[in-house]
Amino acid sequence: MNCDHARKVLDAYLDRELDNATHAQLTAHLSSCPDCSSVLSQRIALGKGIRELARHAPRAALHAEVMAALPRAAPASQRVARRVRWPHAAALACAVAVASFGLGLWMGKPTDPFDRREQVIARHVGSLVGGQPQLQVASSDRHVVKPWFAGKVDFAPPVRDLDAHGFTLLGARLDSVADRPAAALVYRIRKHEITLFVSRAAQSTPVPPTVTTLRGFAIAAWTTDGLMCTAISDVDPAELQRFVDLVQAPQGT
Amino acid sequence: MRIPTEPSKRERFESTVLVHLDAAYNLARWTLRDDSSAEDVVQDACLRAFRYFDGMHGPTPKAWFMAIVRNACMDWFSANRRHELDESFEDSEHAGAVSAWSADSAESPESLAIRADDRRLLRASLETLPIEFREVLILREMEELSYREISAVVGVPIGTVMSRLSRGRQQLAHLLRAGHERKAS
Repeated sequence: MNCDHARKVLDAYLDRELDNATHAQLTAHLSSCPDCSSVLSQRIALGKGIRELARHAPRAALHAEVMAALPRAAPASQRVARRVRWPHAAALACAVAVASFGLGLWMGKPTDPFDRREQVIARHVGSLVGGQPQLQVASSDRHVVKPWFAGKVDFAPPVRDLDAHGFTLLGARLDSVADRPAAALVYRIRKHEITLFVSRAAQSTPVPPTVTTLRGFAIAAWTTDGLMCTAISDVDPAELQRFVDLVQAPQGT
Repeated sequence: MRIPTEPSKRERFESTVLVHLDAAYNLARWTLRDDSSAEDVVQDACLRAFRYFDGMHGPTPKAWFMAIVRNACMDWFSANRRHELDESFEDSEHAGAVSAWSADSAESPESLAIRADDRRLLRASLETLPIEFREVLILREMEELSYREISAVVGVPIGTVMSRLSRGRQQLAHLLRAGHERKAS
């Protein structure tokens, strides 16, 4: 690597955004080039300086004010009933009713598969912020993970030991999908996390698994034993299908 | 049957989006450089985020929320200080013509490290940096967003994120050096 190329990728190096090969090439170049090393040191000092500047903090009350300003939409019937004693009851009830009707268009419980897929993407990706999956119980032992849900959800999520097949159980957390409490079981295969969301199904009719893709994620959805299951990962769809088949397989011990 | 632990939309919004309120305010304040405008814009952005919460997308909730905050900042500029936005982007065109090497003088790293301690000068220099460089530096250094997240927030390709960070840091080093020379003379 020459200096020209080195200066172009120096910032990505500093930000740990380079691929391994380029990273190694630049490391080698830096060890033999004092000029580029000096520029890197300056950039590091600069970054440190910016990080040490105090962030601008909002007023302490802003959080509460924002929460208070959020529209309260559901459940509409309760809201209206509670506010009847308000002096401007009639006007307010009207406003709330109109607002609720309008809001209902986008605040209605998302039950169609498209919304469910959007939701699980958001929950899955959100849980991986920071590089490690969010877990409330971290254990690869299903005899630890399964009982953890007792008293937290009113169903028994299927927790399987799939280690022999390459899917390592990392743990679980309580989550929600389509406004229902869900058990989120987190597995990992070759550095890819799979989240399996399990919640009580709206109707008990079994639905066989279908694997679809959305924005780079493979998503499998099915209903079995009155449980709605949704698995999501950035592995390829065939791999996710294999995972689903294993979760669905009759359980040995 | 309802279960007491079931989180409402408000609760989910609070725990996935509003946890980033400090980051949102920090970005808005650095972008607009004014306390009360930043607060107005953040409040507006929170309401927008809540309205579209069910359709949340992007690499992370934080990136999604920061994109909304940034858009709200840009709307505020269009309505209040349009000239600042135009000037900024003109400045950056000129800056692009400066050789990529000129700002990287062979100064000893130690001297810059000491100088970086001069917070007031650094803060002032960062504030005078054109918006498109300032915002990526804030997102990267203070909010620790990845290139992919910054790309989603700012709405430019990752390669552009990389070159803006690079040019932003060069210009900032340049401004710092100029500031020190002014103070020394």
